[in-house]
Amino acid sequence: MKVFLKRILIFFLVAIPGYCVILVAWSNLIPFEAFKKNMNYKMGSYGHMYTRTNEANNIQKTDVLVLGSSHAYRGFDPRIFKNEGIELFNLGSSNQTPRQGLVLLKEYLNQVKPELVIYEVYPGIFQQDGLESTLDILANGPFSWPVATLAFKANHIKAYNALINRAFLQFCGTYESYNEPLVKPKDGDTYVRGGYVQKDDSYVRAQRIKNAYSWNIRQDQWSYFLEIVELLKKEKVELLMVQSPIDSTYFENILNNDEVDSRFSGLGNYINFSRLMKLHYKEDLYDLHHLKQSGVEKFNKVLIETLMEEGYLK
Amino acid sequence: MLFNSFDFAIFLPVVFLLYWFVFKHSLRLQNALIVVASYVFYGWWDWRFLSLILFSTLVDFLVGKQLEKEAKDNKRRLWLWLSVVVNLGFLGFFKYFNFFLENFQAAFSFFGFEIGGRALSIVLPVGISFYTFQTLSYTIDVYKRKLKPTQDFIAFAAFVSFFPQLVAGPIERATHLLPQFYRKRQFSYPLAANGCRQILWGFFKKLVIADNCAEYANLIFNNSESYSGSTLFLGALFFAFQIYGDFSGYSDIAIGTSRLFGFDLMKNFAFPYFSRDIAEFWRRWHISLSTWFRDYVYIPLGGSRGSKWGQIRNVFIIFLVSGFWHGANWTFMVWGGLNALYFLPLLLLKLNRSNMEVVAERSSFPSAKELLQMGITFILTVLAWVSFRAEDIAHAWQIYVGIFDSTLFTVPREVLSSKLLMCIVLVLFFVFVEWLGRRREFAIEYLLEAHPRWLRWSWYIFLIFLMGMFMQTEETPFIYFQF
Repeated sequence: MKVFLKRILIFFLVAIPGYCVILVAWSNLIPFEAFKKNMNYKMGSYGHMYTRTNEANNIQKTDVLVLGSSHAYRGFDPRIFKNEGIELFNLGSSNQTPRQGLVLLKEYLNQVKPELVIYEVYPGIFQQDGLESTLDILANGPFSWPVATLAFKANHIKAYNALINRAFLQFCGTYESYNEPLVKPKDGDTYVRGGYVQKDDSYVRAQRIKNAYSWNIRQDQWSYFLEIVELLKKEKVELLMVQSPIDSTYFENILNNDEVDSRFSGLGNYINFSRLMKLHYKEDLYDLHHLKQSGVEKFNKVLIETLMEEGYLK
Repeated sequence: MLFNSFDFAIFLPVVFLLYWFVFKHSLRLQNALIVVASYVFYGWWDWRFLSLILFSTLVDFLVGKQLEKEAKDNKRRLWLWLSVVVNLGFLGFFKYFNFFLENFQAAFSFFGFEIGGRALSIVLPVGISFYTFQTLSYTIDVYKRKLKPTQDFIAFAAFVSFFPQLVAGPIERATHLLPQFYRKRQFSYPLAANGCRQILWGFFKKLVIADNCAEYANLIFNNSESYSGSTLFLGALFFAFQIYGDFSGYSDIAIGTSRLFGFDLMKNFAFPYFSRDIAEFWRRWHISLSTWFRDYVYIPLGGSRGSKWGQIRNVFIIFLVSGFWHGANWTFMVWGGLNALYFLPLLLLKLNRSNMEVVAERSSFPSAKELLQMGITFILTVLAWVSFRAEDIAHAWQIYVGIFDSTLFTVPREVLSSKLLMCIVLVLFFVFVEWLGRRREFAIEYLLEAHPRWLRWSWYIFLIFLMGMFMQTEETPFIYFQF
């Protein structure tokens, strides 16, 4: 029995590094994506998180820090803010839920010392478990213990695989030496300094409005969001929760907008821009809820006016 | 509790350590631990149905005792019938009540009579078909005086509820498993190490082969009306590997887990897709069920003795009953009927025992004749799986018509993708390893046995890696749980 337990223990001690070695070799040497089923997020993947992280690491100070999902990094153009004398950095990432938002905020808050944090609170994100965002940040975000814990919290094989691969790339210097293209014609994306990603004007994603439905906010994501609110209160940083505008017909089709609005406004300053402006799919948005550049310009103009009028920025 | 769950990954080591360290000096306590662990294992799914297992256990234990006391045949027969009625009564109610009700209603309405009664919303207790047959084997064997009834209720309860095989077999015989609960257990390193290897291979079959094949099988079967013949046939192929990987994977994990506790369960699969005829296939597929039906139904009916018509009748009865055991749907009967039709020519020509040895026993590759035989048998099996997987008879018919269409010989473009290619490569790798290990209890039992430990361990780690890279990330229940 003792021999058996000893061998089992030794086997696991050998198997863990063995697994890591095979995983790293497989992930980086096999050229076919289909053969990497549970290793599907890699360096430089969708959303420009790699470039954004590198830029964020070098920022000393910003006036406004934006967090949230693709609605954040595709909705707040730092160039427009800069024209008004406001420095804005966009730390949004693909499908970023409050679980990852909290980790990123802890990572960068003291470094970039913002006066104001704008949190883009598209309710669809609060419905998600956040695995996709965890994978994106593990592959492309900052490499630190709090980020690594995202893998353990997700407790998902894809997250563990992404963590192992990232650790390898980090330690062998591949991560540092990678050069992510700023323009990705296949996705129609161009990275703009300040964490923003601009979509090509010609890009349209075919979508149809579903039947009327309601947002269903997950309790765990709500709890993480409350932690974010508390953290910012503790650090005495102003928080503005924003829902960037979505297609007006799509917005009207959602049954519990009032309930969601009252839930967020109960936590502090909150603006739902779909209530203030009517934007339209194809004209201002490339799908039902992601802004095109023309939509971003309209939205950011109104937002900056609000920030000035309400005195969010000194 | 699912084998492929985090809960089981905690449960198994805890029970193992308690079993061999805390309770190792007392056989009775070890058996009691097995009962408690088994009830926890089962109750994890739905504790309410533990009462059914407990009731069956009590009834069969008491019936066993009465069968020993009673000398008169007619009274003994009555006790046997009590056990049969109770066990099959539960099974019949939970599994077949709605099926019979709906079919009676349909039959009467065909003749212009309307009979009342509404279908009930019945939850099928997981594993009821398995443990019912296992406990029935006890009373039947005691009745036939092949087995002395047990006086040890704890041992009997452990036999009925033994968690590794409780919910999906192998369906053990009392004559084989029950005596193992009386014997003092000594930990055996080779047995336990072999068990670990079998568990590893079982998980590989389930997580990598079955679950990946399921993705395509489900896609194709669920949208069968829009696919060409070649795609439908591909769907059936994927289902063939899904069900084999799923069910034999479960059996491997069950047998391997039992070995960790010093138990030897019967073999349930013996590389069935390398069979050269249908008779051989049925000696190699779900062996514990096939032999159960052979011993308790087929042979008492006369088996292959007697007149030709009697033999034909017996073959049909055994296959139809076997099909019906799988579920309350006519599709399973069609599946059973098809297999009976496949089997019949072999029986009538007395060729049903012509392939008793392992294929290519003394060579690495099969002969051209063997390859052809295996190919034909496999295709016949795959075609029969269509009705097993189909939702209903109309669906099965639609797929059969779709397969036997001119589009059978086209490229299945509708589902062609690099992911599909990945799945095919995994299946080919699996078939290759199974071929290498076909003379063994399970494929990787002694693979690389003559090689140094580092090489064997590298192989096991590679299998673990394949699971980590290709497993489905949602918990997927085993197919046979629904039976």
